[in-house]
Amino acid sequence: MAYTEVSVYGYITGDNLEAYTGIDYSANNAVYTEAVVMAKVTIAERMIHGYLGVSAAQTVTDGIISAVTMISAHLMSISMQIHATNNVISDSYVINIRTILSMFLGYDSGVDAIPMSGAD
Amino acid sequence: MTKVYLMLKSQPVSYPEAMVEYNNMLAYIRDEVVRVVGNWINLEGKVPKRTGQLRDTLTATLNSSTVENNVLKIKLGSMVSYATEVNDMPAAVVRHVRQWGKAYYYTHATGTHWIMLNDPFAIGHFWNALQIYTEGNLINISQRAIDEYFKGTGKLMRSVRKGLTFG
Repeated sequence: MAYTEVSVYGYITGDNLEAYTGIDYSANNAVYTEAVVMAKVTIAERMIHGYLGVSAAQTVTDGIISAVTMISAHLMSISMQIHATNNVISDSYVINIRTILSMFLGYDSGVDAIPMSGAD
Repeated sequence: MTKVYLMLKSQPVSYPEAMVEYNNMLAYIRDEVVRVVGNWINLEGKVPKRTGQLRDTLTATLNSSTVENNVLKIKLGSMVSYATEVNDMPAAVVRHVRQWGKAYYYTHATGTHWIMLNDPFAIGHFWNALQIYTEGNLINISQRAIDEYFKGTGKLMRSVRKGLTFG
């Protein structure tokens, strides 16, 4: 996904993060809107900014970029565990209108569905 | 000209009315499957338990099942890394009746933490069994829900549904 939202300090973009993890977050779960992913990136940036005393205005070094990328990837990983989108074992069963209709038809085919009797 | 009616309990209804009832039915199926499969995991205790992490994550995933855009999605799964290993083991290995065992999930200041293992109804290869159980129940509950919401009186369902709470 091409991100248009930016984080607070702008050390990395959402596309940088997805390139690093190889995960298209919004495709994994609708919860991961741009705003949600960039909020995680922002938290990672605030950690670097706060703990390492990096000023927002200074040149963004490789170290800052890599640290923010790894921390935000980790935060996304935790979030995905909470939303159960990175399960080791997983399966899902989908019921849509087509399934329900096929159940109707299966149910009705026994007794009721003899409308053509006597028609030559 | 042939006219097609949508029928709800022998009464013709509009498309939006039918969809409201259809969504209620999906919500009912979701709640019932979550309840029945959740019981299988926890109350009936079919899933092996040491620390409870496996059961907890399976339940959490199950609870995340949704009804969205007229589609019901029942989710199964666990994020614990050893889930596949547990699934490979037979009942004789995973089942315990009041035995002491090591816990790998707690840290303890004095070293290894020992806990009482008690999962007398745990089965081997739980994941395969869980999938079969969920699929079978989903079909049965759906069939029953179709009867109740579109064909029957609907009274049974509402009385079953009443008083149940889900996370």
